[in-house]
Amino acid sequence: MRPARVGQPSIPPAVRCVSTGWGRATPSATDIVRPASLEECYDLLSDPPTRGIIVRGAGRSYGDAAQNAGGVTLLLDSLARRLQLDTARKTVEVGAAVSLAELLEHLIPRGLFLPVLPGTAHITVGGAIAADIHGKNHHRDSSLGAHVLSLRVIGASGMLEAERDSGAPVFDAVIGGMGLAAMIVDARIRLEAIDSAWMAVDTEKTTGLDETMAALESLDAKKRYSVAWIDTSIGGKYLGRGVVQGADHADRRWVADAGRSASRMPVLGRRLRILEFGSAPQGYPDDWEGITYPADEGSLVSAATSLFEEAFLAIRPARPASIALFNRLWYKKAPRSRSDELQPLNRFFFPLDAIGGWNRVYGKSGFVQYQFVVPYGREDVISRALTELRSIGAYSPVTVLKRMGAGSGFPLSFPIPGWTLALDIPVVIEGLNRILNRLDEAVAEAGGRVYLAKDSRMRKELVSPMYKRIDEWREARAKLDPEGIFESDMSRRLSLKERPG
Amino acid sequence: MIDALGGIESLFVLGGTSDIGVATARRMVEQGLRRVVLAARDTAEAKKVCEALIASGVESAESIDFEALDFAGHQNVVDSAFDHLGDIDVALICFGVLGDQTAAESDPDLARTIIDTNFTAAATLGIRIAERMKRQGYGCIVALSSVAGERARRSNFVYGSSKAGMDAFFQGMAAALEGTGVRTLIVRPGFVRTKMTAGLPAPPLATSPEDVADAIVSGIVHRREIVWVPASMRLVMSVLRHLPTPVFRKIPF
Repeated sequence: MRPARVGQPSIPPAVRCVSTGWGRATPSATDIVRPASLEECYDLLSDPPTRGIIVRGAGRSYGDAAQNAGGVTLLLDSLARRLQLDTARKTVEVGAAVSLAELLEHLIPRGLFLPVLPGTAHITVGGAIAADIHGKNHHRDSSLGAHVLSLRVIGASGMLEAERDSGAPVFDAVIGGMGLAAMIVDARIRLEAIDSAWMAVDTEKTTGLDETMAALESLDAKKRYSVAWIDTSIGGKYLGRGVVQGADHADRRWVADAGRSASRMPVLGRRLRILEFGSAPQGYPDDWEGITYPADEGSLVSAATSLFEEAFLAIRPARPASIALFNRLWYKKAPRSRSDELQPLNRFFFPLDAIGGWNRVYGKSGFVQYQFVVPYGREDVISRALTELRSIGAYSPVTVLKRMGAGSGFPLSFPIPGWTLALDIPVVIEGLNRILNRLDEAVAEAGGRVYLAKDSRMRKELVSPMYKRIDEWREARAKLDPEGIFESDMSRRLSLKERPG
Repeated sequence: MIDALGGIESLFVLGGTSDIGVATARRMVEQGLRRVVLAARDTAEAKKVCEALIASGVESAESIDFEALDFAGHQNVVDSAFDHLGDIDVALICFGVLGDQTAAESDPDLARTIIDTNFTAAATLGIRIAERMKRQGYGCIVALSSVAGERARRSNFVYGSSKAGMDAFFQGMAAALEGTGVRTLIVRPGFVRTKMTAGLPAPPLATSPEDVADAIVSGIVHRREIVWVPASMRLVMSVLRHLPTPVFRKIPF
């Protein structure tokens, strides 16, 4: 037992808040705790709350992975903020609560870069490791877990440090482990060198799924980054048509020749903030996505803001007709073919980051992001998904098709070699549940899986058929947290920690 | 947990043998319901319903003895439902009596029975369930109201006023529960063809228990606070509510 400090409670006061994922579809109430020191974390773990603890990063998981109904949700923002660069070895030691945007602001001016980046910079390092995120270069560079050199985590019994390939259960339990094994404190990550803050982008418009897939395949060999956007509004022989992009980091001299500044720092913050209604009551950080703090007493100003927000949510700009129209226009606007276009890095990697709060366009009941991967040879599941979702009007404005390479080798990690498809679909579509349940079965049967970091609706029976190594993960997890202190709405919904009985 | 598309694992029905309760449980089984507890007065009938639900695929279905007017026993009923189910995703309060309107007008004890069952018992059970759900940080309480509560009518105002009280109670409770993760859904059906209304002539816009069940399931997905069944009933009642009283009284149903 640690001696209690006199005159001050050892566990910081908790605030009961409603939290939800980025999809805004599964709200639940939780006690938000922001420990100021590691000491407070140890205290909390030695006397854990009955409904467990989950650490929340930036709240950008689409589903319920960072929610803990009735339990404690930890924000480590005042704690896990270390950042130590080793430019000679090209590594960084970085705290779990540091966002990728903050990290990139240190890296890019020094000509360094993260080996893996997702579609938004507004996630934390801890969340990125817990989801073992992948990016547009997965076909050659695998997922983030493949580049983590060491980890410091707090398990039920205290601080643990593990080096890559040391055989310790920490890597297997934590990377891709959805925060259910331990609290990530910091990580040492391998970095890449880049020559400029610009991308050289090739774009090609395709007329059908076979052509889209062929274009992606040929880009794999040529380009470091490749990705396709799919027009989900059209079927028949045009099914799967889209805009395929391949890119490499632009070379410094070439950027200068084009009259641009090679070291120009891209804007990683949100430029348009009109959809982020209201602000947090006094005394709370207002940048925590998806957390609703207890309201101050009502006022006419807050009533007016709320009226504006409710009206916007009721209008629900993202409806099947408008999404279909957006798809058509986006496709139409794309160039038939263009090579070596210089694009600022943020526009290529994080196009949606420019608009803060874009997730509100799906209205009050939110949206689901459905992302799965199927092995090469099972392209039929991709076309089936596009066809069936189209049949019920489940169009998606942001639909991404991508080829994946080798996985990072951790048992609960999502990527496997094959095709991955991701779609954003409003919850209100009639029949969506039925279609997605059927697609889940097709994905499992094909030897693929659904991405847990995006999920908010899968049936628990399909977790084991999809993640065949889950028992290895469960074993490693139990070594770090034998009593099952770490818990989330997702772990309860999918019975992740135990085999469902 | 309640998932993003309204998938529900556990359901607690108060009034477990009512046609609407059974239809809702069946509908939720199709959507993946795993565990259910039916609290009902008619235990033998409740057991039969449980068996049928198990045959249709739920992992567990239990029945509990429940008498709405036994206020002293309410906490036990709620506690044992939570014991059976663990976390409760949805609690459906759908017990009630129509009562004999003509008799109740001159029999205060009978009127009180109707009001206590439909209003007092429903509201106080709502409190007990909400207290438990607050601890789990989520959950949905579905309260079966009625369009009869919208404007008192000569032909059923004892029943109607009890539903009006219940409806108002859960509207206020919805506001009180903000920030707790627990939400409420008030369901306002028009005439539903059930055991309770057997023998009565069905007016226009009459619905079935299955229609009400569908409305409940979709209300949960869309996170509504009030649903009308059929949806057009909202407009009809809005018109009826604003009719001059002499006109309203001449409307035959």
